[in-house]
Amino acid sequence: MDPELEALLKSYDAFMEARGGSNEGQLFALYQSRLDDVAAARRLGRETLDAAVRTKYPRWIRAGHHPSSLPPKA
Amino acid sequence: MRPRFEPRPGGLAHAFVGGQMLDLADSGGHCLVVNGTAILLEPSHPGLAGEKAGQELVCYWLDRCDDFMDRQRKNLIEREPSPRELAEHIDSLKFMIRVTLSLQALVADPDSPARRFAREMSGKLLQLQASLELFLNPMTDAEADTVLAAAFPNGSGT
Repeated sequence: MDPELEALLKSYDAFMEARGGSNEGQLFALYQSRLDDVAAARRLGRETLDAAVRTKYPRWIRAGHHPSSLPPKA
Repeated sequence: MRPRFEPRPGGLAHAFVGGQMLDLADSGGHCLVVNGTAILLEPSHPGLAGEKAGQELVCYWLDRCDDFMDRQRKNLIEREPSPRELAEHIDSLKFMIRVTLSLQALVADPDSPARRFAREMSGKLLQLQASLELFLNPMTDAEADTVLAAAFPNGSGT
């Protein structure tokens, strides 16, 4: 899998797996920031890429990808 | 195991979690999370029953939201739900969002003592709304695969 796509999926997963309320906003902002960067670099519509990542996400989880940590943003 | 709270003279507080006492002196009344459980710290000024009730309600709801997200992960994301399970979950999600929006209004009130929980409530609302978008996402698997294959020629498959 492309490392940038995997980083996007991990960012989204980190947001969805956050608990307690303190970090959710920050993690969502990080996911959106990554999304903006990738969409711009790949000349894709941001909403289209977002929808594709979200559609991919459950299948990626079911395939056994359970990230142990969120990679730092480049 | 839910913690229990013990008021201390002078309005300070401590809590027992898993048999251990946490000293919460001068906490001022707040939530902390231990092993995924939202814990209400005793308000520093006992007698403010309204303040305590509001904080307990908010902490209770934050806890329920986390439980809901855990069940969602286990039953709807880690495995393929049936159409009926999905429909029921979407109904539940909408209810969770409605209640969280109501509580967000409570914590956004500038005079509310629960205002300190605004960030936490906002974070949970964001997560619940993103969950609804996830399950109502109209893009099909095939469409997503086409978009991702074009965007990531180095590999988009699992």
